[in-house]
Amino acid sequence: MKLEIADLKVAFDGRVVAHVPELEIASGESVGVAGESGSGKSMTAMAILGLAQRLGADVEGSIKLDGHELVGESERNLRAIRGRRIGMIFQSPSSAFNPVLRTGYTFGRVLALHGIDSRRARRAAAETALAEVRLRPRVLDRYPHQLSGGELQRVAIAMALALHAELLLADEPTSALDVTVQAEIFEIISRIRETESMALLFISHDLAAVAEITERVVVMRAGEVVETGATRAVVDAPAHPYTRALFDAVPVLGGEASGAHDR
Amino acid sequence: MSVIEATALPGRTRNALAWMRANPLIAAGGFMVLVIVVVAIFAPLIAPYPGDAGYATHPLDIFKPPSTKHLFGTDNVGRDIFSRVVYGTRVSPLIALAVVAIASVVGVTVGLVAGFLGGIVDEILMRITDVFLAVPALLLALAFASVLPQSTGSTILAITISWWPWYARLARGEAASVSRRRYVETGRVLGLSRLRLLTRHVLPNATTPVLVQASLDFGGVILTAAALSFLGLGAQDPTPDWGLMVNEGRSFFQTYWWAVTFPGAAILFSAAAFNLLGDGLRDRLDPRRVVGR
Repeated sequence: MKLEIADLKVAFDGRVVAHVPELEIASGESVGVAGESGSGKSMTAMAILGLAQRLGADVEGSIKLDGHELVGESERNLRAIRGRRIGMIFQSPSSAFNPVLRTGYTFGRVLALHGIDSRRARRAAAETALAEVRLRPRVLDRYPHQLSGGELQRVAIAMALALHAELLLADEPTSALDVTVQAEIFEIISRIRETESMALLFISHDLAAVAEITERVVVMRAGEVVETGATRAVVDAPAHPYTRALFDAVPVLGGEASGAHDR
Repeated sequence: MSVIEATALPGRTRNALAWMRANPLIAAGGFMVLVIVVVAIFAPLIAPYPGDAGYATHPLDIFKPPSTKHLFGTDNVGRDIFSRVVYGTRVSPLIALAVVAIASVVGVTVGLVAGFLGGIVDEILMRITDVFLAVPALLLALAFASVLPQSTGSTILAITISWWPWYARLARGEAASVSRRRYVETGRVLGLSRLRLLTRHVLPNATTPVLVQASLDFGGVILTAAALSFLGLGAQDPTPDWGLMVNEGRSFFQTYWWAVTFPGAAILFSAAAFNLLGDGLRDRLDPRRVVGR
């Protein structure tokens, strides 16, 4: 799998809200997009999923998935890609699940939508995927409110796993969770990246989180990319004053990251 | 209930008891509705003077107070009020149930579609709803009742027409907020059909307020039907409509209290029955209220 973005521009009424000159993600890679609210990081993700147009934005440039152009692709074909080849997880897992349906129903529908026709096959695929995120099959019989935020987020990840998504698009996936749960989610994502060679596009305002889980990072501000490079290098020596400011905003007690920055 | 007592019962009875304890509102409301239904079916056997539900008059028995002969007393033409209240189970609750059922189905459909689709469809549907809401409900019902032939069906139709817009408004607000939730958005993005999104994801999450409102409206509909009768447009005299009986007895209330009290108590009973049932159903349908197991 290879996702290539070239000169992507997302605009509302002629005003560019996100401009990404270049970005590549290959199988097994982990790329972060960092920036404050309104920096255009989520809009970039929306464009990749072909959702920005639905919101009324004009999308220019190129987004290629294995050489196949996604910008201007039909809704029908995009649907086959969303969820299936590109998995998604969102900020608040509790609002991503319909509260009146058991998670197993939601899980099953997602699999059915992407062509797994037999009930038994769906159940088996769901259970296998759940085992990978260390959840018991029992959670399928629960309603969303009976599970914790971390458990729901893991169910969402399992959905992407069950469909063998090649790229996981995570938009602030742990911002609503506490730190220990975040660590658990990160550990799971890192592991499945290795075992499934799933690529990760991690979107967050939290540079510490980005530093922890990504190899490369794109820092955005007011719709423009201000800095890009290996996460290690950017964290150790932020070139742009904005990146430095973003990093200073992260409260770190001792720790490697702040020490590196002080240098 | 003690363990010994519980285990002494056969399994099915024990399960039924456990279920009732878990859903006391549904059990109580359901039991009361059952009472109404049974009385309605066996009215000729229960009522001591079946003829009094019709054209019979007894000039010598006018306004007899409650006694063993006339359990609820007699009215201004000497009819046995108990018999009329018993036969009334075949009239008033049916009208109220029909109105609330039809109005909520129509209202929820309109409101759901408006709130879910939004935009121009929302505008059009809600402005139509506003037109109905602009005219006082009773006046609107009166207008329709006066042009329709006098029958129970017409009464139901007339009240329904003035009733559904309230449900439409309620459902629209909920549907609009639910439609913006992430799981609906995600479903849209994943390519679920609009129909499926509506029925599976928006409807179950948006109908609770309507269900509650509908169960509360039950008594109100009976009284509105009575007001129509009072103005000469609903059920007419020999019909043992509870609301009509209350209205007719009102002028004699200070001297002959029973003419109003017993039909009124029947309205209270049926309204409470559906209210409890509605409340219980609301609790039952909302999975968040199910205690985590």
